[in-house]
Amino acid sequence: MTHPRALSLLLIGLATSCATQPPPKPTAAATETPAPPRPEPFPVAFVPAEPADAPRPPAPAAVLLRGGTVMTAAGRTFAPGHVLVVDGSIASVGEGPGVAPEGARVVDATGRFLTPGLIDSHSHMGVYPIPGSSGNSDGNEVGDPTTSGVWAEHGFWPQDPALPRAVAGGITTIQVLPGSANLIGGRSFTAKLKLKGSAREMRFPGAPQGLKMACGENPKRVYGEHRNGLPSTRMGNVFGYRKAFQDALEYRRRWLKYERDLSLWRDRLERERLHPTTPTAPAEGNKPAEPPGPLDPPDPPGRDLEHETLAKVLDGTILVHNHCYRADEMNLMLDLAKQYHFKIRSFHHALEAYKLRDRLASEGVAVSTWADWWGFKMEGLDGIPENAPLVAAAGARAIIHSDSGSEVRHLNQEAAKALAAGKRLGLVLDDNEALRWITANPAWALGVEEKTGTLTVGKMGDVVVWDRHPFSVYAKAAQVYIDGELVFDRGTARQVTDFEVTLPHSGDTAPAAGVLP
Amino acid sequence: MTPLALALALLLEAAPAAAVAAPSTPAPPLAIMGARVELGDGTGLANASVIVVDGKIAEVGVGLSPPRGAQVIDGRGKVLTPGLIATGSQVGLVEVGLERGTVDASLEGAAVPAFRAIDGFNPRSWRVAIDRGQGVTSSVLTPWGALIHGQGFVVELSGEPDSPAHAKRVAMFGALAGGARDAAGGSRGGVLLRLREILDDVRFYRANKSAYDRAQTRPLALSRLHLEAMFDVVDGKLPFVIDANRESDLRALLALADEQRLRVVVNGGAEAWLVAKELAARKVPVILQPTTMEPWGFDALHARDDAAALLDEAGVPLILSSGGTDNGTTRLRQEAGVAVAYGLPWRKALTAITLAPSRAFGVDGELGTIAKGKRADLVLWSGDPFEVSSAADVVIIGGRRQDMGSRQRALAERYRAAH
Repeated sequence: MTHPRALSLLLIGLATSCATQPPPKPTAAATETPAPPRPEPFPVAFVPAEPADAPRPPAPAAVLLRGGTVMTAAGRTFAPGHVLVVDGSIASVGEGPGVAPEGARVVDATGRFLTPGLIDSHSHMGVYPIPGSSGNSDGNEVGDPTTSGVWAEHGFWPQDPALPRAVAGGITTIQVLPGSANLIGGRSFTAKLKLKGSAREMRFPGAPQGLKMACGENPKRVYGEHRNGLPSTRMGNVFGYRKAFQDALEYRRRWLKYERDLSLWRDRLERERLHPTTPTAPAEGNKPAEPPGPLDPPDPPGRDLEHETLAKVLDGTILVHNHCYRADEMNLMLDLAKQYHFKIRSFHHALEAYKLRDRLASEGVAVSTWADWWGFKMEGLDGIPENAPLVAAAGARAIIHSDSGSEVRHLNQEAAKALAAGKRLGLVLDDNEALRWITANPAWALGVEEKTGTLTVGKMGDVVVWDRHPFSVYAKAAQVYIDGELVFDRGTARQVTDFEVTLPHSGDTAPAAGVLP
Repeated sequence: MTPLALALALLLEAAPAAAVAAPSTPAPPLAIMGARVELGDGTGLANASVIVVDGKIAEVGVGLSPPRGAQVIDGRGKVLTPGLIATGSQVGLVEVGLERGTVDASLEGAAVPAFRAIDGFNPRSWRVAIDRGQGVTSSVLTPWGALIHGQGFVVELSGEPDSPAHAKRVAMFGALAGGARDAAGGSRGGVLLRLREILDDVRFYRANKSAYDRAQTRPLALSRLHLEAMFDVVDGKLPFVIDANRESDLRALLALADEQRLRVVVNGGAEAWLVAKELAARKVPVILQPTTMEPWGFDALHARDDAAALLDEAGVPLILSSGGTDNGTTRLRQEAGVAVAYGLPWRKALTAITLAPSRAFGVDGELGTIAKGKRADLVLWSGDPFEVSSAADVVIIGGRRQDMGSRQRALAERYRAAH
């Protein structure tokens, strides 16, 4: 039985591995010098390599942030505490002032609050950038309701002036998704907000890609109402998903068969090399002769970029993020995913998640939602401010996302709002849990929970210094660090996109907040 | 609980009592005692009380005693403010934004000044109760449109069936950019041309009404009722609220207002801080949404987060808004909080969602502050009302304590119980 991961290894690995063969293992049966390996004919399966992640830049000097209240999002709060970042990674977190290594920059954070860098699990920054324009709208490949082959990364404009503003709101990582016009909108990518000139350079190193899927009204409206095509109903929506995944299953089967045939053929080559005179292996004792194996290498199936994406979903290497509002539809999608043997990593928007929170908890599906954005369409009618808190109280992973280049600037307030709503309903929730809605939980949804999302030794040095408790409406990020590098220092420095070179960004440098007198 | 059992439990659950305000009966006197009272006019009183009799504020001060028979509300540790006024709202006009059958906020046509959005106002809209639950006691109903959208009304959010009957026409709404450009032939110059033509024809029509009725005039830019609806605008009596953001549009608007002697209000104002001196000199109010101060469009390239503070410092009458539907107006106090975070003094921010809109729209004799003789629209908050963690504990409109239930709350209770 082929391991389910094998296909993805094949698809990713062949471009680099098809030219090399493992060195022959010496065996007792090898009595003569083996013949040199026969080169495999081109192409066995020619899959161009995707551009690799950008090399990691040199690490900034160590930085020790000390004196503030450290909210780790990992259960502990240290007041006062410290966070030490060395070589871009968190080297120490804990009580007290910490110890500054030689040459480290020491930042006095007394009276301030430290949290992990915030993560927005649902962003269209870069693909629907500001200022709004038709020329830069690159988030929905409208024309076909299933566009599994397109990548958000390829439509991303890194000069979006919303990006540095998000950083000023404490955001260090975002998932950039295609829009929701399509049933299957394409691949998402996860970016760190250290701004660079290309999406590739901003990729979160090692983060898996996601797949954007959409339920409900949007695909119906875009294709049915506006284009008089399929889908125009939720029936059509589900037909579309089933068709796409059925095709992907068959595609994957063809590749698995190819891989098996290739391996048989390689075995035969290997035997011929070891025993040039005997094309088939002789019987040893009462062991029957091995099958001879194919003479010619198998023909690889054609590469289909759409099916390939879904095949990787079936392998589990691409994570599914499903825009879906209604509880009945989420139930349906979970059933469908089971049928086709894939996992839904998270539902997005999910305003009715509270209605099926037990199932979400037991099946390990995260929920990205808003605090109080609701009612703008029928599938949003039953949205309640207690959605995320109810999901969290049931033991599922709740996430507060923005879906907006504006709201992303105060994700901390949105989490605070949801937390307050949950407490008013009588749920037992604390600041650590609500902080996880914008840090650790989205990190998990994006598959980067080992690398960021909490202030934990060994994780990336993604840290926000807030001028007051981050759940206050008056709180502003004073400093933001990504991989230990200071990327925002209120009143002093921030990243500036090319678009903004002549524009004011003094708003980022406003004085400290006044409060209720 | 199995899904089936859950479904049954939900079906069998007793129907909740209707969350609609009871028909008007005389309200008992109210006494909110010992609260921190923020008056809305830039002042506040600690440990103060407010007495409400016959729907009006009877007394405000420290050391008051509740009148006989009054319902006493303990305000200790809490903050009492005037009811908030949501400018730019479509509450009661839009139930579900994408369902056209539930949307009554606009009328087809480039310029429809006679359109009265209030005629489509539904006091039983689910959104009325939700906005009210966030401390919004009145809304400035704001129609959408292209060039001239129609008339705006101030309506109370009591949900009473007769509340629209008490609504007051307070403004005409229009725009200089955005959809106005498309409606006027695709350029800003076209917008100003069309506006001048309309204003001119309004004056012409008024002077030549009888000739018009005998069909002895040239064709006019608008039909009869639309022209008549503009009389108070050209007389400078009715505020003309204009959507405008770009600095050049704001300057064009001020020039038009000077030339035509209009009383204008700026709605949007992303770049208004660049025109702050001129706006202040003419006392032109600006309606601003603080959380949107980013370059969202080419009309807002110079937006900045501290815009509210800059306008206030310059002396511009500042009104804060949370925009219209989608989020509804539930985020109004959060908008105020964000303005404070970026430098606007706290009490100015409160004024900007209470007294300032009531003044700009000419209802400050009745609404907007906690003052003797004004209508008792009051909100008692669990803490600082701008903090998102605070909640409106008590909402009073016209001296009546409001039901805090809503469809959202009913759903939350239902599913908490079902868990």
